[in-house]
Amino acid sequence: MRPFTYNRAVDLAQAARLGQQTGQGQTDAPVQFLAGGTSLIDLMKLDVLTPERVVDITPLRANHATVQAGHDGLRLGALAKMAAVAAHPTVLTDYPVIAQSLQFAASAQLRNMATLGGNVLQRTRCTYFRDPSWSACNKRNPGSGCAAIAGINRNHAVLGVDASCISQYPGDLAWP
Amino acid sequence: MSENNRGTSRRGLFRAAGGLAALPIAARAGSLPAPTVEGDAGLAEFVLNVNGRDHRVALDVRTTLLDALREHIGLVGSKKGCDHGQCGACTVHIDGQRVLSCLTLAVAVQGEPVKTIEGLAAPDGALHPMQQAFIDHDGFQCGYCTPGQIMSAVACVREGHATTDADIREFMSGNLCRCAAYPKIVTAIKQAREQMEHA
Repeated sequence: MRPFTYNRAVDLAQAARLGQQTGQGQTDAPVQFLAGGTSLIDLMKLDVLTPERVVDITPLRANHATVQAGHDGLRLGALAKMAAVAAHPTVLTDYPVIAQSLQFAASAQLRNMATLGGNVLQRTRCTYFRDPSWSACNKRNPGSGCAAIAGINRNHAVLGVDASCISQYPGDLAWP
Repeated sequence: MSENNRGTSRRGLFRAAGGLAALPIAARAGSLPAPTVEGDAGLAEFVLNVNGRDHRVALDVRTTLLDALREHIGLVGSKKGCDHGQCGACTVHIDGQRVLSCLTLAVAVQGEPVKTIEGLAAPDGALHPMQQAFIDHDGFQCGYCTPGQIMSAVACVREGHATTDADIREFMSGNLCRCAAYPKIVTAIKQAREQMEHA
Protein backbone atom coordinates (compact mmCIF):
# COMPACT_ATOMS: atom_id res chain seq x y z
CA MET A 1 0.00 0.00 0.00
CA ARG A 2 1.37 3.44 -0.92
CA PRO A 3 1.90 6.03 1.82
CA PHE A 4 -0.96 8.45 2.41
CA THR A 5 -2.10 11.09 4.83
CA TYR A 6 -4.97 10.02 7.08
CA ASN A 7 -7.71 12.46 8.10
CA ARG A 8 -10.76 11.98 10.27
CA ALA A 9 -13.55 14.25 9.10
CA VAL A 10 -15.30 15.74 12.10
CA ASP A 11 -18.19 17.23 10.11
CA LEU A 12 -19.59 17.46 6.59
CA ALA A 13 -17.94 20.80 5.89
CA GLN A 14 -14.52 19.44 6.70
CA ALA A 15 -15.13 16.29 4.64
CA ALA A 16 -16.18 18.42 1.69
CA ARG A 17 -13.22 20.73 2.03
CA LEU A 18 -10.75 17.83 2.26
CA GLY A 19 -12.47 16.16 -0.68
CA GLN A 20 -12.16 19.10 -3.03
CA GLN A 21 -9.19 17.46 -4.71
CA THR A 22 -11.16 14.37 -5.72
CA GLY A 23 -11.65 15.73 -9.23
CA GLN A 24 -13.84 13.51 -11.34
CA GLY A 25 -13.57 10.53 -9.02
CA GLN A 26 -11.22 8.61 -11.29
CA THR A 27 -8.92 5.96 -9.91
CA ASP A 28 -6.00 8.37 -9.90
CA ALA A 29 -7.85 10.86 -7.70
CA PRO A 30 -5.49 12.07 -4.96
CA VAL A 31 -8.19 11.95 -2.28
CA GLN A 32 -10.38 8.98 -1.38
CA PHE A 33 -13.09 8.75 1.28
CA LEU A 34 -12.95 5.90 3.76
CA ALA A 35 -16.19 4.51 5.18
CA GLY A 36 -16.56 0.72 5.51
CA GLY A 37 -13.23 0.27 3.79
CA THR A 38 -14.07 -3.14 2.35
CA SER A 39 -13.47 -1.97 -1.20
CA LEU A 40 -11.05 0.93 -0.67
CA ILE A 41 -8.49 -0.89 1.51
CA ASP A 42 -8.67 -3.91 -0.79
CA LEU A 43 -8.00 -1.81 -3.90
CA MET A 44 -5.23 0.13 -2.16
CA LYS A 45 -3.51 -3.15 -1.27
CA LEU A 46 -3.79 -4.13 -4.93
CA ASP A 47 -2.22 -0.81 -5.97
CA VAL A 48 -5.30 0.02 -8.04
CA LEU A 49 -6.07 3.05 -5.88
CA THR A 50 -3.11 5.13 -4.70
CA PRO A 51 -4.56 8.16 -2.91
CA GLU A 52 -2.29 10.75 -1.32
CA ARG A 53 -4.95 11.46 1.26
CA VAL A 54 -7.59 9.23 2.86
CA VAL A 55 -10.47 11.04 4.51
CA ASP A 56 -12.18 8.85 7.11
CA ILE A 57 -15.85 9.83 7.14
CA THR A 58 -17.02 7.25 9.68
CA PRO A 59 -17.21 9.93 12.42
CA LEU A 60 -20.17 11.33 10.45
CA ARG A 61 -22.26 8.20 10.99
CA ALA A 62 -24.14 9.64 13.94
CA ASN A 63 -26.15 11.77 11.51
CA HIS A 64 -25.80 9.83 8.27
CA ALA A 65 -26.49 6.20 9.10
CA THR A 66 -30.23 6.46 9.67
CA VAL A 67 -33.06 4.53 8.06
CA GLN A 68 -36.29 6.52 7.76
CA ALA A 69 -39.45 4.97 6.41
CA GLY A 70 -42.44 7.23 5.86
CA HIS A 71 -45.37 7.86 3.52
CA ASP A 72 -43.09 9.46 0.95
CA GLY A 73 -40.80 6.46 0.76
CA LEU A 74 -37.61 5.18 2.28
CA ARG A 75 -34.59 7.29 3.08
CA LEU A 76 -31.33 5.40 3.66
CA GLY A 77 -28.30 7.09 5.19
CA ALA A 78 -25.15 6.74 3.09
CA LEU A 79 -23.20 5.51 6.11
CA ALA A 80 -25.82 2.92 7.14
CA LYS A 81 -24.32 -0.57 7.22
CA MET A 82 -25.63 -3.21 4.83
CA ALA A 83 -26.38 -5.57 7.73
CA ALA A 84 -28.32 -2.92 9.65
CA VAL A 85 -30.52 -2.03 6.69
CA ALA A 86 -31.07 -5.69 5.78
CA ALA A 87 -32.34 -6.34 9.33
CA HIS A 88 -34.43 -3.16 9.67
CA PRO A 89 -38.02 -4.18 10.52
CA THR A 90 -39.69 -1.79 8.04
CA VAL A 91 -37.26 -2.59 5.25
CA LEU A 92 -37.96 -6.29 5.83
CA THR A 93 -41.73 -5.91 5.67
CA ASP A 94 -42.22 -3.07 3.17
CA TYR A 95 -39.08 -3.25 1.01
CA PRO A 96 -38.21 -6.97 0.89
CA VAL A 97 -36.31 -6.64 -2.40
CA ILE A 98 -33.87 -4.22 -0.79
CA ALA A 99 -33.57 -6.40 2.32
CA GLN A 100 -32.90 -9.52 0.26
CA SER A 101 -30.47 -7.84 -2.13
CA LEU A 102 -28.39 -6.89 0.90
CA GLN A 103 -28.80 -10.19 2.79
CA PHE A 104 -27.54 -12.22 -0.15
CA ALA A 105 -24.51 -10.04 -0.81
CA ALA A 106 -20.96 -10.71 0.37
CA SER A 107 -20.60 -12.22 3.86
CA ALA A 108 -21.88 -11.38 7.33
CA GLN A 109 -18.58 -9.70 8.25
CA LEU A 110 -18.51 -7.59 5.10
CA ARG A 111 -22.16 -6.60 5.55
CA ASN A 112 -21.31 -5.42 9.08
CA MET A 113 -18.60 -3.18 7.63
CA ALA A 114 -19.80 -1.99 4.25
CA THR A 115 -21.99 1.09 3.96
CA LEU A 116 -24.81 1.70 1.49
CA GLY A 117 -23.03 4.72 0.02
CA GLY A 118 -19.96 2.63 -0.62
CA ASN A 119 -22.03 -0.21 -1.99
CA VAL A 120 -23.60 2.03 -4.59
CA LEU A 121 -20.33 3.81 -5.44
CA GLN A 122 -17.94 0.85 -5.32
CA ARG A 123 -15.59 0.16 -8.21
CA THR A 124 -16.12 -2.63 -10.67
CA ARG A 125 -15.10 -6.13 -9.68
CA CYS A 126 -13.66 -6.83 -13.13
CA THR A 127 -10.51 -8.89 -12.57
CA TYR A 128 -8.61 -6.86 -15.18
CA PHE A 129 -9.47 -3.66 -13.33
CA ARG A 130 -8.23 -5.19 -10.07
CA ASP A 131 -4.88 -6.26 -11.54
CA PRO A 132 -2.69 -3.30 -12.59
CA SER A 133 -0.28 -5.64 -14.39
CA TRP A 134 -2.86 -5.49 -17.18
CA SER A 135 -2.18 -2.12 -18.76
CA ALA A 136 -5.37 -2.02 -20.80
CA CYS A 137 -8.32 -0.96 -18.68
CA ASN A 138 -10.42 2.02 -19.59
CA LYS A 139 -11.77 2.26 -16.06
CA ARG A 140 -8.29 2.44 -14.53
CA ASN A 141 -6.64 4.38 -17.31
CA PRO A 142 -9.13 5.98 -19.73
CA GLY A 143 -8.15 5.45 -23.35
CA SER A 144 -5.94 2.42 -22.66
CA GLY A 145 -8.43 -0.13 -23.98
CA CYS A 146 -10.19 -3.14 -22.43
CA ALA A 147 -8.36 -6.38 -21.72
CA ALA A 148 -11.57 -8.14 -20.78
CA ILE A 149 -13.27 -8.00 -24.18
CA ALA A 150 -10.82 -10.43 -25.74
CA GLY A 151 -9.80 -11.93 -22.40
CA ILE A 152 -11.46 -14.20 -19.88
CA ASN A 153 -14.84 -12.56 -19.94
CA ARG A 154 -17.15 -15.05 -18.27
CA ASN A 155 -19.45 -13.34 -15.77
CA HIS A 156 -18.98 -10.02 -17.46
CA ALA A 157 -21.88 -7.95 -18.71
CA VAL A 158 -24.08 -9.22 -21.52
CA LEU A 159 -26.37 -6.23 -21.86
CA GLY A 160 -25.52 -2.57 -22.04
CA VAL A 161 -21.90 -3.05 -23.10
CA ASP A 162 -19.88 -1.20 -25.70
CA ALA A 163 -16.44 -1.49 -27.24
CA SER A 164 -14.73 0.27 -24.35
CA CYS A 165 -15.82 -1.76 -21.30
CA ILE A 166 -17.80 -4.91 -20.53
CA SER A 167 -17.66 -4.80 -16.74
CA GLN A 168 -20.77 -5.25 -14.67
CA TYR A 169 -22.09 -2.76 -12.20
CA PRO A 170 -21.09 -4.27 -8.83
CA GLY A 171 -23.61 -2.68 -6.44
CA ASP A 172 -26.16 -4.90 -4.72
CA LEU A 173 -29.25 -2.82 -4.10
CA ALA A 174 -29.30 -0.24 -6.86
CA TRP A 175 -28.67 0.39 -10.51
CA PRO A 176 -26.52 3.26 -11.72
CA MET B 1 -2.53 -18.65 24.03
CA SER B 2 0.34 -19.27 26.42
CA GLU B 3 2.76 -17.48 24.09
CA ASN B 4 4.14 -15.31 26.86
CA ASN B 5 4.85 -18.23 29.16
CA ARG B 6 7.29 -20.02 26.90
CA GLY B 7 10.98 -19.49 27.45
CA THR B 8 11.93 -19.25 23.82
CA SER B 9 9.20 -19.23 21.26
CA ARG B 10 9.51 -19.70 17.54
CA ARG B 11 7.91 -16.30 17.07
CA GLY B 12 10.31 -14.73 19.56
CA LEU B 13 13.23 -15.95 17.51
CA PHE B 14 11.64 -14.61 14.34
CA ARG B 15 11.05 -11.27 15.97
CA ALA B 16 14.60 -10.95 17.21
CA ALA B 17 16.02 -12.10 13.90
CA GLY B 18 13.83 -9.80 11.89
CA GLY B 19 14.52 -6.76 13.98
CA LEU B 20 10.89 -6.60 14.98
CA ALA B 21 11.64 -6.70 18.66
CA ALA B 22 10.27 -3.25 19.30
CA LEU B 23 7.06 -3.77 21.20
CA PRO B 24 4.49 -1.08 21.79
CA ILE B 25 4.21 0.31 25.24
CA ALA B 26 1.05 -0.99 26.83
CA ALA B 27 -0.23 1.63 29.15
CA ARG B 28 -3.41 3.05 30.46
CA ALA B 29 -4.73 5.42 27.86
CA GLY B 30 -4.97 9.09 28.39
CA SER B 31 -7.30 11.11 26.24
CA LEU B 32 -7.14 10.55 22.49
CA PRO B 33 -5.13 13.06 20.52
CA ALA B 34 -7.38 15.58 18.83
CA PRO B 35 -7.71 15.00 15.08
CA THR B 36 -5.58 17.47 13.22
CA VAL B 37 -6.71 19.29 10.12
CA GLU B 38 -3.49 18.42 8.32
CA GLY B 39 -3.88 14.73 9.10
CA ASP B 40 -1.47 11.99 10.01
CA ALA B 41 1.19 10.95 7.53
CA GLY B 42 3.63 8.22 8.33
CA LEU B 43 3.39 7.39 12.01
CA ALA B 44 0.24 8.07 14.00
CA GLU B 45 0.01 7.75 17.75
CA PHE B 46 -3.24 6.42 19.11
CA VAL B 47 -4.83 3.98 21.53
CA LEU B 48 -6.17 0.59 20.55
CA ASN B 49 -8.56 -1.01 23.04
CA VAL B 50 -8.15 -4.76 22.70
CA ASN B 51 -9.83 -7.30 24.98
CA GLY B 52 -10.53 -4.62 27.56
CA ARG B 53 -6.99 -3.32 27.69
CA ASP B 54 -5.66 -0.09 26.20
CA HIS B 55 -2.53 -0.22 24.08
CA ARG B 56 -0.86 3.04 23.13
CA VAL B 57 0.74 2.46 19.76
CA ALA B 58 2.64 4.45 17.17
CA LEU B 59 1.92 2.91 13.81
CA ASP B 60 2.21 3.73 10.14
CA VAL B 61 -1.29 4.84 9.17
CA ARG B 62 -1.31 2.09 6.54
CA THR B 63 -1.24 -0.61 9.22
CA THR B 64 -4.32 -2.80 9.22
CA LEU B 65 -5.92 -3.81 12.50
CA LEU B 66 -4.82 -7.39 11.77
CA ASP B 67 -1.16 -6.41 11.41
CA ALA B 68 -1.41 -4.15 14.47
CA LEU B 69 -2.73 -7.07 16.54
CA ARG B 70 -0.27 -9.63 15.25
CA GLU B 71 2.93 -7.70 14.67
CA HIS B 72 2.74 -4.90 17.22
CA ILE B 73 0.54 -5.96 20.13
CA GLY B 74 1.60 -9.60 20.01
CA LEU B 75 -1.87 -11.13 19.73
CA VAL B 76 -1.32 -13.67 16.98
CA GLY B 77 -4.59 -15.59 17.38
CA SER B 78 -6.24 -13.68 14.54
CA LYS B 79 -4.91 -15.17 11.34
CA LYS B 80 -3.93 -13.74 7.98
CA GLY B 81 -5.33 -15.89 5.22
CA CYS B 82 -6.14 -13.99 2.05
CA ASP B 83 -5.60 -10.46 3.44
CA HIS B 84 -8.39 -9.34 1.08
CA GLY B 85 -11.57 -9.94 3.05
CA GLN B 86 -12.57 -13.19 1.44
CA CYS B 87 -11.54 -15.96 3.88
CA GLY B 88 -12.63 -14.72 7.32
CA ALA B 89 -9.53 -15.99 9.17
CA CYS B 90 -8.93 -12.49 10.56
CA THR B 91 -12.45 -12.06 11.99
CA VAL B 92 -12.61 -10.03 15.22
CA HIS B 93 -15.38 -8.15 17.01
CA ILE B 94 -15.48 -4.36 17.03
CA ASP B 95 -18.10 -2.98 19.38
CA GLY B 96 -19.62 -6.47 19.42
CA GLN B 97 -19.94 -6.76 15.64
CA ARG B 98 -17.93 -9.32 13.66
CA VAL B 99 -15.71 -7.63 11.11
CA LEU B 100 -12.60 -8.36 9.07
CA SER B 101 -9.46 -6.95 10.66
CA CYS B 102 -7.50 -7.23 7.40
CA LEU B 103 -9.73 -4.63 5.73
CA THR B 104 -9.76 -2.31 8.74
CA LEU B 105 -7.17 0.40 9.27
CA ALA B 106 -5.99 0.30 12.87
CA VAL B 107 -5.96 4.11 13.05
CA ALA B 108 -9.62 4.18 12.02
CA VAL B 109 -10.79 2.11 15.02
CA GLN B 110 -8.76 3.93 17.67
CA GLY B 111 -10.52 3.81 21.01
CA GLU B 112 -13.20 1.36 19.87
CA PRO B 113 -13.54 -1.91 21.79
CA VAL B 114 -11.88 -4.73 19.82
CA LYS B 115 -12.26 -8.33 20.92
CA THR B 116 -10.05 -11.10 19.56
CA ILE B 117 -9.97 -14.84 20.11
CA GLU B 118 -7.55 -14.23 22.99
CA GLY B 119 -10.26 -12.29 24.82
CA LEU B 120 -13.00 -14.87 24.48
CA ALA B 121 -12.19 -17.18 27.39
CA ALA B 122 -13.07 -16.13 30.95
CA PRO B 123 -10.35 -14.42 33.00
CA ASP B 124 -9.85 -17.67 34.93
CA GLY B 125 -9.11 -19.48 31.69
CA ALA B 126 -12.46 -21.25 31.36
CA LEU B 127 -13.18 -21.62 27.67
CA HIS B 128 -16.11 -19.92 26.01
CA PRO B 129 -18.85 -22.44 25.16
CA MET B 130 -18.03 -21.98 21.47
CA GLN B 131 -14.37 -22.81 22.01
CA GLN B 132 -15.32 -25.91 24.01
CA ALA B 133 -17.85 -26.96 21.37
CA PHE B 134 -15.24 -26.80 18.61
CA ILE B 135 -13.02 -29.09 20.72
CA ASP B 136 -15.88 -31.42 21.64
CA HIS B 137 -16.92 -31.87 18.01
CA ASP B 138 -13.49 -31.68 16.42
CA GLY B 139 -14.57 -28.64 14.43
CA PHE B 140 -11.20 -28.16 12.77
CA GLN B 141 -8.33 -30.03 11.22
CA CYS B 142 -5.32 -27.81 10.62
CA GLY B 143 -6.82 -25.11 12.84
CA TYR B 144 -5.73 -22.08 10.84
CA CYS B 145 -9.26 -20.81 10.18
CA THR B 146 -10.48 -21.73 13.68
CA PRO B 147 -10.02 -18.41 15.52
CA GLY B 148 -11.95 -16.65 12.77
CA GLN B 149 -14.57 -19.40 12.70
CA ILE B 150 -15.09 -19.16 16.46
CA MET B 151 -15.29 -15.34 16.54
CA SER B 152 -17.73 -15.44 13.65
CA ALA B 153 -19.75 -18.24 15.24
CA VAL B 154 -20.12 -16.38 18.55
CA ALA B 155 -21.47 -13.36 16.68
CA CYS B 156 -23.65 -15.57 14.49
CA VAL B 157 -25.42 -16.98 17.58
CA ARG B 158 -25.80 -13.54 19.19
CA GLU B 159 -27.28 -12.13 15.97
CA GLY B 160 -29.91 -14.89 16.05
CA HIS B 161 -28.65 -16.33 12.77
CA ALA B 162 -27.95 -19.81 14.11
CA THR B 163 -31.50 -21.11 14.46
CA THR B 164 -31.33 -23.69 11.66
CA ASP B 165 -28.55 -25.63 9.94
CA ALA B 166 -29.26 -23.74 6.72
CA ASP B 167 -29.03 -20.42 8.55
CA ILE B 168 -25.74 -21.40 10.16
CA ARG B 169 -24.29 -22.37 6.78
CA GLU B 170 -25.49 -19.15 5.16
CA PHE B 171 -24.36 -16.81 7.92
CA MET B 172 -21.02 -18.60 8.40
CA SER B 173 -20.28 -18.41 4.67
CA GLY B 174 -17.72 -15.66 5.25
CA ASN B 175 -15.37 -18.12 6.94
CA LEU B 176 -13.64 -20.55 4.65
CA CYS B 177 -12.18 -23.85 5.88
CA ARG B 178 -9.74 -25.35 3.45
CA CYS B 179 -9.89 -28.65 5.34
CA ALA B 180 -13.67 -28.65 4.87
CA ALA B 181 -14.58 -29.28 8.51
CA TYR B 182 -17.91 -27.60 7.82
CA PRO B 183 -20.28 -30.37 9.07
CA LYS B 184 -18.50 -30.48 12.42
CA ILE B 185 -18.43 -26.70 12.65
CA VAL B 186 -22.21 -26.62 12.19
CA THR B 187 -22.62 -29.26 14.91
CA ALA B 188 -20.32 -27.34 17.25
CA ILE B 189 -22.24 -24.11 16.74
CA LYS B 190 -25.52 -25.85 17.57
CA GLN B 191 -24.11 -27.16 20.85
CA ALA B 192 -22.71 -23.76 21.81
CA ARG B 193 -25.96 -22.05 20.81
CA GLU B 194 -27.88 -24.08 23.40
CA GLN B 195 -25.38 -23.19 26.11
CA MET B 196 -25.17 -19.52 25.14
CA GLU B 197 -28.94 -19.18 25.09
CA HIS B 198 -29.28 -20.75 28.53
CA ALA B 199 -26.31 -18.93 30.03
